Amino acid sequence: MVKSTFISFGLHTIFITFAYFGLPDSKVEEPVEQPIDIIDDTHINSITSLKLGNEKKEKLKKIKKDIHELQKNKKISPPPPPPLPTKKIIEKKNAVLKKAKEIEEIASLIKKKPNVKIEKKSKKKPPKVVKKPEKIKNKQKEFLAKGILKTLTEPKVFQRKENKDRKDTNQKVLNKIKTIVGNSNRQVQQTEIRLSQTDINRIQMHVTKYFNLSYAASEVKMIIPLKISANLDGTIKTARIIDKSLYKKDKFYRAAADAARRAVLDSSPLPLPKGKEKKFQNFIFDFNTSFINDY
Amino acid sequence: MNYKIIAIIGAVSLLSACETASQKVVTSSTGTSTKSGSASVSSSVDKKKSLFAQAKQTAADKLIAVGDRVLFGYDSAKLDTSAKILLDAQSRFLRANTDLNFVIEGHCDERGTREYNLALGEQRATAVRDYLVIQGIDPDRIKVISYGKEKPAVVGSNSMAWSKNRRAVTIID
Amino acid sequence: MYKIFDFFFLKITVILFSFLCVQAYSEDLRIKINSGQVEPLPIAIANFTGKTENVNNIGLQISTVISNNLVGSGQFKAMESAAFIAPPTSPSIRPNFTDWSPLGIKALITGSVKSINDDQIEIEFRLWDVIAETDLIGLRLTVSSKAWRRVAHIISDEIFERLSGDSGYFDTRIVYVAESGPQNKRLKRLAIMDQDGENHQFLTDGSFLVLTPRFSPSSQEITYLAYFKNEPRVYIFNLETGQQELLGAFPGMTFAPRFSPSGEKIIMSLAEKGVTDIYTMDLNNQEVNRLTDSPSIDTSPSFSPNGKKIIFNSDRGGSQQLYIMDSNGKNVKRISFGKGRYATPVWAPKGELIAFTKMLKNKFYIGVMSPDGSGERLLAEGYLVEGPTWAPNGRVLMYFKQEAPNDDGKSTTVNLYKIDVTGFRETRIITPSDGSDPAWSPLLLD
Repeated sequence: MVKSTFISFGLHTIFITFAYFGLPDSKVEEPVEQPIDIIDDTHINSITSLKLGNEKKEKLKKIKKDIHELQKNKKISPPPPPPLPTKKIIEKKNAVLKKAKEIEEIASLIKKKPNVKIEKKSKKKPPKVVKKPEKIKNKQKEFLAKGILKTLTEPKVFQRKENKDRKDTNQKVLNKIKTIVGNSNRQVQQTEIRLSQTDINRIQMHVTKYFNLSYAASEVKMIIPLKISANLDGTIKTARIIDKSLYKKDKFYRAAADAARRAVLDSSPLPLPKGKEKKFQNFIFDFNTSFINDY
Repeated sequence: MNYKIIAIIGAVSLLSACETASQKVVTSSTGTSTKSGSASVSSSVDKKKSLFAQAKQTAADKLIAVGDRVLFGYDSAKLDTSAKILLDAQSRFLRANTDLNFVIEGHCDERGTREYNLALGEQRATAVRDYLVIQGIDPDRIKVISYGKEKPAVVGSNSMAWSKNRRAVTIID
Repeated sequence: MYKIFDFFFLKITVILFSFLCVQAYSEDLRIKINSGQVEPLPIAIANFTGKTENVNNIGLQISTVISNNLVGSGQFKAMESAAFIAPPTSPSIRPNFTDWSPLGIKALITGSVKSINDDQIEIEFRLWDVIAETDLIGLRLTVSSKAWRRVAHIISDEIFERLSGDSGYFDTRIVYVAESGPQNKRLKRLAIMDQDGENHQFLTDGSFLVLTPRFSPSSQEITYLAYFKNEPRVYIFNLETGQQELLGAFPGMTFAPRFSPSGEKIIMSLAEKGVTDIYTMDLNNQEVNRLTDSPSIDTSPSFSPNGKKIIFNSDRGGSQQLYIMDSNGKNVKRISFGKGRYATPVWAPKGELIAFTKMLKNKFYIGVMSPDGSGERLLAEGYLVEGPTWAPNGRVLMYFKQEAPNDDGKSTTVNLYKIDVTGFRETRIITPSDGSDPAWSPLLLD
C-alpha cells in the first residue's frame, strides 16, 4: 500500500513536471525563408525544352518504326495463308482516282506538313534574386526567435477539425488533470490562443473564392500543402509549395499547385480572427483538388 | 424520264431493220457523241451491246412493273406477308429471265447509326435473297449490297419517308 | 489494491495521451481548402512582336491563333488586347506585373518573331504567372515561315498543359467526310483539316462513296470504308504517299474499321449472309481473327487504350446495346441498360469513359458512361447526332449533327460539332461544305 502510494506520488511528480515545462519538443521546425521568386530583367539565355510527351513520342515512334519494319518484311516474304481469304490487293492510286495527279498533289501537300525544328535547351533557371532586402531577413529572424520562444512557453492549440473527437478526449483528460493536480496548469489557460471553427471557416471560405482549377478529364485527387506566412494584418508574406519534387514530376500537381499559390496570393489579406493573428505567422494550407471531380 | 426511255426503246425496235439508223439512235441514247463519219465503222459488237442494253432496259421496266422493292418495319429485316407475295411475283419473273443476273440493294431509314444500318441493310438484302433462293432462283445469279442509310429513296423527316426508305430493291445487274 | 492499479493505469494512459497532444500541438496549424472554382482562367496574350513588318504580321497572327485555341478550349478567358496597358516588347523582358494584376489577369503570354534567313523564322514565347510574378514556361522554336500556324498550335499546347496540367489538343488534325449535293444523291469525299478548320484538303474526288474514316495512332494513315467499284470494303489511306490499299479480300462487306492502339491491327465488321461479326486483321501478317460469332449484328468495335478490351454494339439481346469483351472475344458483357438504343461506342484516350450515340424516342444523343456502364451522362442532342470522336486529351468530343430535313425533302444540313466532355459549349466546326463522320487525330509528332 505504501509502495503503491510512492509510485503514485512519483508518477504525479513526473506528470506535473511535464505539465509545467511541457514535453521536450522533438519537432521544432525552423521556419524556412521563402520569398516569392523574383526574376531580374535578364535576357533569355536558355529556354525550357519542349515536352511533347517524350515518353509517348518515343513509344509511338517505336510503333511507327515497327510497323515500318514489318511492312518491309511483308514485301520480302509473302504472308502465310490466313484462315480467311485475305489476298492483299493494292489499289494503285490512279485506279482509285481519276486524277492521279490530284492525289499526288494532295500527298505532297500533306508531306509538306511543316516540320518544326525545336531547339531543345536546358530548363532556364532565372537568376535567383539577390536583391532581397535585409530588413526582411532581420524581421524573419525576429519572428524565428519569437516562434521558438512561443513553442517553449505556450502549448499549441490543436487545430485539426477531423480530430475533434481526440480534441474532446484531450479536453476531458485536461480537466481530469486539473482536478488531479490542482491549478498547476494555470499558465496553459492563460496563454492558449484558441481558434474556433468559425475562425477557420471564414478563412476557408475566403480562400475558396480564389482557388480556380481547370476541370479535369479524369479523376484527380491531390492534396497540395502550401506553407504560408502571413503578416499580422493578414497580408501574405510568403506562400511556398512544399512538395517540390512532385511539383517537378507531376504536371497536374504543378498546374494545381500554381493555382493554389495564386489563390493564396490573390486572397491576401486573409480575414484573420482578431487577437489571434499571431497564429498565422506560420501555417499550412492543404489544397484538395477533389472538388473538380464533382464538377 | 421513264416515258423517254420507253420512247427510245420503241424507236429502236421500230428501226431495228435499218442498221445505220438504229446505230444513231442508240448512240445518242447512251449519251456518247459519235461523229457521222465514224458511224459506218461501227461494228456489229456495238449493235449487240445496244441490243443487250435495250433488252436489259426492257427487263428492268418489267421488273419495276412486277414490283422491284419490299419494305421493312423499323429496325427489322423480317419479310411480312405482303413482301412475300411481291417476292413470289418477283421470283416468277426471275425464273422467266434466266439470262439475267440481279443485285439486291438493302437500305435503311436515317433513324439509325451509320455502321449499324450498313449491317441492317445487308440483313434486309440477304432476307430477300434467301427467300428468292427458296423459290428456286440460282444463288449465283444474285448479289447483295448494302447502302445503309446512304441512299434514301425519299427525303423527309417523317414516318412516311422513313418507311419508304426501309427497303430492299432488286435491280438487274 | 485494484483501485490503485486502476489509477496507475489511468495515469499511464493520461501521460500517453498528453504526449500525443503535445506531439499534435507541435505541428503547424493546417487549414484545409476543400473547395474552389472551375472558371475560365483570365489570361492576356500580347502580340508576338518582330522587328520587320513581315515578321511582325506573322507574330500578330500567331497571337490570334493561340488566343482562339485557348479561348476555344473553354478553360481560358482572354483579355482584349485593347485593354493592355503596356505590352512587353519581348519575351525576354520581365513584365511589370502590377500593370496586369489589377485587370484580373492571372497569366500573361509574351512572344517574339525573328527572321533568320529567307525561309526560317525563330519564334520565342514565355508564359508568366502574373500573381506569383514568375515565369512558368518558355520556348524557342525555329521553323519555316510558312509553318507559323503549326508553331502557334504547339505553343498553345504548351500553355494549355502548363496551366491545366493536362496535355493539349491543338496540334492535331481532323479527317472527315465532306458532303455535297442532294440528300438522295450525295457526293461524299474524304477531307482533312487542322483541328481549327484551317489547311483544308480533299483526299478523294467523290467518284465513289466513302464513309467512317479513322486515324492510325501515328496520324499518318486513315482507315475507312469505300464503295470503290460498288464493293463496300475497308481501305487504308496513306497520307504520306497518297496510296490507298484494300484491306484483305473478304467474301462480304467489311466496314466499321478502327486501328488498334498499337496501330498493328484493324478491327472491323464483316457482314455476310445476314450476319455481322467482328474481326481483327493483323497488318503485319494479314492474319484474320474472328472475335464474335452470333447471328446478330455486332459492329462499331473500339479498342480500349491498353488494347486489352473491346467495346462494340450488338442487337443480340433484342435491341442495339453496348457490350464489352476481352481482346480475344471472350467474356462478353453488356454494359448499357438505359432506355433506348446505344451505338458507336468509342473508348476515351485515357480509358475512363466510353462515348456513344443513343437513340431514344425519335431523338439522338451523344453521351458518355464509365466502362462498367455506370454514370451515364448525355451531352448533346438533336434530330440526328452521331459518331463521337475524342480529342487526344479526352476533354472534347467531336461528332456530326444532321438537322431534320424539311418535308419537301429539299434542304437538310449535316455539320461537325464539338462539345466539352462536361457537356458545355457545343460549337460548330466550320467546313467548306457539309461534313460528317469526323475523326480526331492523336497529337502530331515530328
